[in-house]
Parts: sequence; structure tokens; C-alpha cells
Amino acid sequence: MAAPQTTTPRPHTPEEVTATVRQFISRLSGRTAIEDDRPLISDGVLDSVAAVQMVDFVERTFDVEIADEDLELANFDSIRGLAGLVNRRLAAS
Amino acid sequence: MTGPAPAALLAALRDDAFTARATAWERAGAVPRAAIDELAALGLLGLTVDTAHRGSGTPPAAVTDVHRLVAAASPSLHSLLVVHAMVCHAVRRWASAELRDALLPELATGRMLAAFALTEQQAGADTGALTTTIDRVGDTLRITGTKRWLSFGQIADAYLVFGSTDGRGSCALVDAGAGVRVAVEPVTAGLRAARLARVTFDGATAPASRAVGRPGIGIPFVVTSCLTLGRLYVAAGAVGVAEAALRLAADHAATRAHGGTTLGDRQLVRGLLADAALATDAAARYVRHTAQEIEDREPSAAVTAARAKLLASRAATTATATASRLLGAAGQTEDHPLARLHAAARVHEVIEGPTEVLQDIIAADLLRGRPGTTDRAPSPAAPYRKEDDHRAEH
Ligand SMILES: Cc1cc2nc3c(=O)[nH]c(=O)nc-3n(C[C@H](O)[C@H](O)[C@H](O)COP(=O)(O)OP(=O)(O)OC[C@H]3O[C@@H](n4cnc5c(N)ncnc54)[C@H](O)[C@@H]3O)c2cc1C
Repeated sequence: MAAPQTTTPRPHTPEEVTATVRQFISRLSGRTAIEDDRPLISDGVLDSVAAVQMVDFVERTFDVEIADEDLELANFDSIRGLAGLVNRRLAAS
Repeated sequence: MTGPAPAALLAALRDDAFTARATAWERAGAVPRAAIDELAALGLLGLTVDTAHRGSGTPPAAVTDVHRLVAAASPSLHSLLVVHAMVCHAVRRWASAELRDALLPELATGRMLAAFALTEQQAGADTGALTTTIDRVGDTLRITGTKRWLSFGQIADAYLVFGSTDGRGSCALVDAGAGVRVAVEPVTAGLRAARLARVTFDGATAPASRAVGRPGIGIPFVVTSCLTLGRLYVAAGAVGVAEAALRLAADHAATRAHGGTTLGDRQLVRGLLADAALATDAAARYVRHTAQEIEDREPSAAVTAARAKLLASRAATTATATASRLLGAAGQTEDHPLARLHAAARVHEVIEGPTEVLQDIIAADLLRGRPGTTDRAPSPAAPYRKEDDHRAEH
């Protein structure tokens, strides 16, 4: 019989969330150093395909659901904004 | 909850009678609503909808198998599956819970047929140029603008309309009826029976609850996520077309006698068949891989879907060109099944992002962040602008 499934621990502290988001955005944009407040979408760091990928990534990685009312540019336009959204969602669940 | 594609549906699509009916639709230049209703009763339109909303919750890879079957016989009917699935996705992913619960069962059962209304005269691949407006006045949306080349727009009950609200990209599901004028588009060579319409919204109204995503979100998020799925499904259809053309070519090459031998014994012919077979098989495998990425919600899925559509539509172009050569005169007649496959392959290279637009997306993904490349983002959908941020309203 297989051993009981262990689930990968999810990054949950606010610092872990920010670090995970920062790493993902860096991979998605192909840039190594992006400041946490740098506008991602309005500055063209990410295009719209990447923007949609970001929503999928956040939902999957942190097991949160982004609701219609979360879809404000401010929540997606910087590493700080995105990490803040995830932390609010995690706190609410 | 997920399950396989309904068995009765698969049986109906694999029946020779389905191919015969598809031929009749192509001749008539229209898939009739009655035929759609019949197949919808078997679950054709609810594949991508979960069981709680009266769909079959079929996983994406199994859905692409159905798309292959349908497109091999009727590329026209296949385009309905594509646009309908995109609308179902937009409602499921981006609409309010109330709208989702009210409309998904209608869409899944085919009681409501929906068209995807993006293209305009001056805005095809370039969605940044949309001129349709979706104004909000109190609790009512007022839609003004003209959409072109809408698959099944002639008989749709509702349209997923993309436009702008106060200058911000937006989207709403609008019922056919008052204020919505439907004109028949000229018949295209490919997808002849897809009931293409030019639809004018002349101050048509919809309740504000019919908005899908908020202004500023409707274009980049809703369009892009719909197009990802649309690209997967067009790719699957293109694989079906390529497989059907390859079957015609191989059957013909194996049996057509030529100077005491068969066509298939000739080396040059074997080379053509091998190239077409490999292109088709590679595309089929890539489509399954893409379906899995989408199911797993891999962040790379949007680009992978663009790659799949490019690869598969080209495979269909290669396979249909090969079949067209090998079949000789017989393959050139208007009524031959090859005619519809050949023309469908040409359309597949245009819809849901033309080949060049997909190349741009794929190359941008490849080059992103490399030194020496411009950081220009591709624009499969309108970019965000700073003004799209309307935190202040909330
Ligand atoms: C059978 C059929 C069904 C359709 N169904 C629908 C539907 O249901 N809903 C809907 O909204 N629309 C539909 N369309 C419209 C379709 O989506 C558009 O035709 C497509 O987006 C291309 O737009 P266009 O025709 O305006 O061509 P354009 O955007 O003018 O492009 C023409 C060509 O220019 C080249 N090109 C365009 N952009 C670029 C670029 N950035 N870089 C390099 N080259 C480029 C490509 O070769 C392209 O094929 C349908 C079209 C057909 C033929």
C-alpha cells in the first residue's frame, strides 16, 4: 500500500507569500530584479497573456479563489499588490 | 465533478450517418438548429460545464477528442463548439455567481445558444481597436456597435459582446431581440455552414448583472482566457481535419493503380505521406499536452495553447495540401469531403489569432528578458492602461 499522501506545505506567512510571488513574476517576466512596487502591467513588464497566467498561478499555488470583486488592476499591478491580495484571501479563508 | 464524454454522444458522432448529415449541411450552407438541438440533447454543448450546472464536466483532453471527431466531419459545426465553450468559460470564470447559476445550465443543455462577439470591421486580430460601447446607465447596460463574422450568430440566442465602458475594456452577455439586428455574412469558403452573421447592437439593453468581469478587466482577462481555450479547441479541430485528410490521402495512395504499381509505391508520394503523418501526429500529441496543462492550470498554458494552434493549423494545411495533390482531379470537386477540410485548414490559420499573431506571442515568450531584445509585449488583447485602475470607485 502506498504511504499516506503528504501534501507540499503551502507558503503561508505574508513573507513567504511575497517571496513566492516575487519569484514567479521574475520567471514570468524574465527579469531578475523587480522592485515590489514596480507597475507590472501598466509598465509593460507583463502582457495580458502573462496577466491571465498570474491569476491561475496565484489560485493554484495558494489555493485561493480570486473573485470578480478582486479583479482590480491595483491587485495585480505590482508584486506588493498581488501578495497583499493573496494574504487578504488567505486570512479570509 | 468530472466525467467522460457522454457515450451516446460519441456513438452518434462516430456513426456514418453523422458524416452524411454534415455533407448535407455543407451543401445547404447551414447547420440547422434542429440538428444542433438533437446533438445538444446528447450533451454536445455541455462538455465543458460541470455536472452541478447540467454539463458532463468532461476533462479537457477528452473534450478535445470530441472536437476532433466533430471537425473531421463538420468543421462548421465544430466552430459552434468552440465559441459556445468560450462563452461557457467566460460565464463560469468571470461572471457573478448568480449569473453563473442561472445561465450555465441553459448553455450546457443548448436551450441558449451563445455566440462570441469580438471581431469588428476595423478590429480583427487587434482587439485594442474595438469601437463597440457598453454604457452603464443605472442598472442597465446599453450596447452600441457592429460585430462581424460571428459563428452561428444567425441563430444565437445570446452574444458575449466585447467593447468598452467609459473607455475601459468590458464584456457583457446580451440576448438576441430588441435592438439587435442580425444580417447574414457572405458564405465563406471554409466553415460554409457556420451561419456567420454581422450583428448590430443598436442601443440594445441588458441588465447590469449581465456584465462579465468589470470594466478594465473584460478585455485583457476575459478575452485572453477565452482565447486560450479557443486556441486549444481550434487546434483540436485542426487535428481532426488533418487526420481526416491524411486518411483520404493514404486510402487513395494505397489503391490507385499507376503503371502496374500503386501511387503509394512511389517514393515521392511516400515522402509526402510521411511528412503529413508526422505533422499530424505531432500536433495531436501537442494538443493533448496542452489540454493537460490547461487542466492543471499551468501558468504556461496560454502560450502553450498558442503553440498548439499554430502547430495544428499548419498540420492541417500540410495534410490537406498533400491529400489535394494525391487525389488529383477527384479531390478538386466542390462536393468532395476534401474541399471542406482544405478550406477549413485555411480558416483555422486565421481564427482565434492568425498564424503571425501566434508566432509573435510564442517568440515574445521565448525572448522575454533576454539582453538585447526590446521588451515589447505582444498584444493579443488590449493592454492595460493606468486609468483602468478604478480603486476609487470601491
Ligand atoms: C469562418 C470564420 C468564423 C469566424 N467566427 C468568429 C466568431 O465567432 N467571433 C468573432 O468575434 N470573430 C470571428 N471570426 C473573425 C476572426 O476572428 C477574424 O477574422 C480574425 O481575428 C482576423 O481578423 P481580420 O479578419 O480582421 O484580419 P486582420 O486582423 O486584418 O488580419 C489579417 C491578416 O493580417 C496578418 N496579421 C494580423 N495581425 C498581425 C500581426 N500582429 N502581425 C503580423 N501579421 C498580422 C495575418 O496574416 C492575418 O491573417 C471568424 C472568421 C471566419 C473566417
